[in-house]
Amino acid sequence: MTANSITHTTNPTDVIKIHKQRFTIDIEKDFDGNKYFDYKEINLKGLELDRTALVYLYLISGQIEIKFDLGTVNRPIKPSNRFIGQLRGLKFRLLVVDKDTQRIIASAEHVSAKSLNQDKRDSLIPVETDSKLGNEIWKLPLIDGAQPILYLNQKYPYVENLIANDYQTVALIYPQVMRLALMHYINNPTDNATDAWQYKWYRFIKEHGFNKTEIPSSESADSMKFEFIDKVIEKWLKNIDIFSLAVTAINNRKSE
Amino acid sequence: MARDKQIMALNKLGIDKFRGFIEDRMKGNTSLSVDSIIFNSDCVEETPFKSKIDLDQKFEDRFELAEYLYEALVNEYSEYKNKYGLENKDIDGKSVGLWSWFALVYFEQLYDYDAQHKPENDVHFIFQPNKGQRWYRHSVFTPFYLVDEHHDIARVLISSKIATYGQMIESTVSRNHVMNSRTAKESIRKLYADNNNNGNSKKGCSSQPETKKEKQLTKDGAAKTSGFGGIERFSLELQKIKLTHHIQGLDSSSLINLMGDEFKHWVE
Repeated sequence: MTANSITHTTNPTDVIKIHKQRFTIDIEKDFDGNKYFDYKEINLKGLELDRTALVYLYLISGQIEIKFDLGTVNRPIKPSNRFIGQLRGLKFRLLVVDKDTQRIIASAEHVSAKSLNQDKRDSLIPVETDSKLGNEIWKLPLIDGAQPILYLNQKYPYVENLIANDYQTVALIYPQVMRLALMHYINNPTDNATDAWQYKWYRFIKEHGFNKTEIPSSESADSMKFEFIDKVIEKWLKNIDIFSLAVTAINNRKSE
Repeated sequence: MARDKQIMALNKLGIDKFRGFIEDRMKGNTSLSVDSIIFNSDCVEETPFKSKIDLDQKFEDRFELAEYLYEALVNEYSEYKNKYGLENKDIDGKSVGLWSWFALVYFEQLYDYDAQHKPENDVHFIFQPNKGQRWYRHSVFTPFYLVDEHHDIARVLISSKIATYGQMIESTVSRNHVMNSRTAKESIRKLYADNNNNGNSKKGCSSQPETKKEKQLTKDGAAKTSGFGGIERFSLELQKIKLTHHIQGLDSSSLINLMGDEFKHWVE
């Protein structure tokens, strides 16, 4: 067999991929503070889809999966009840389905919502505020398979500003957050899909000079995982120079 | 004579004692009794549940145990679910205390003294809701959870032996794509429930496919059929079909058709 005779099917399912740029899902709050998801338009133009095909949006949070009926390709409807309650770690799945065979014609998988106050949609650890953290300033709940999200206690004064701009706060909190999230990444392997949250972590690790073969597997001994995480964290802290920045910030405050 | 007792929960000391008790049992040491913890007021705390349970109640299997507890808690559990259910993931929380207490109360029935392979840790007895991939191995909570939340397939998933955990739960409960799908659950019942045996799972349906390539063939070179069309293969195939079909829009017969011939021999 020569190399010329090898063929590779890049899309064996024949499902048309709906690019994430065709729609944006936001998490908003109503006047009473209840969270809901929203979107302006789901643009399916130019995909040459059957106009009568059914469109569904699935909201996924851990073990919970909620279906929203969005009508058909030519007659879209927007569900009126889009409240998400206390659900966390949301992912969305958009499906265009043949109404007779239920075959998926087109889909968008693992779509993240743009969180409240989150400008950077593709951040490594999305940050959200929460009013039910009790006496904890921050929390990183780890749900199997789900992207880790950092929750900040909304009752703690200026918490969002501190986490974004205050070097001392960042130096105190983020190394531990990153440790937990890295362990979660190691323990929740996935395929090589570039749209999975794990891929961002893989890229992060690679950017800090580590090879794929150096990353422990979920089955590796804990000691091996801790050792690897220590190395990555140390490299990252060195790169962003947060220790010096925090020290300088403290000294500046003293002299003010 | 029944020994009725108010439903209690183990506190932190009680959990530590229970952990030691399990370790002892695993080593073959039976000197410490269940009652020595249950009736030690330093180890337990009261719960808001008003129902009583019989400490000496005997069960045929874990489904019967789950139904017994479901009946005892039915009018109260939903009110306290946030504290005493899976939602409370606190490692020292009330849910850990409650479900571990139940496992302690019925430990002598739940623990398989004759098992060739003893459990490697206490996850079957100490409830661990904080461990995402482990909570479902609890010997009392998981059957109860299935009866409470997935009653339609509880019988086929729960082991028909009181001291056995069973592969049906292992292959399904932690997999959201199975448990979230009404059609998948209906298909599981259709394929694997033995209607001539109270809806228990059919013999052989939980056997595992060989994962190591070198062991997938018999000495004669033929493909081994263990796990063929079984529950583990069902979960894996369903994951694939989910990429190409809207499973919630299918009925169970259509889904089974899509799953391929290997599953059809289970259909009656």
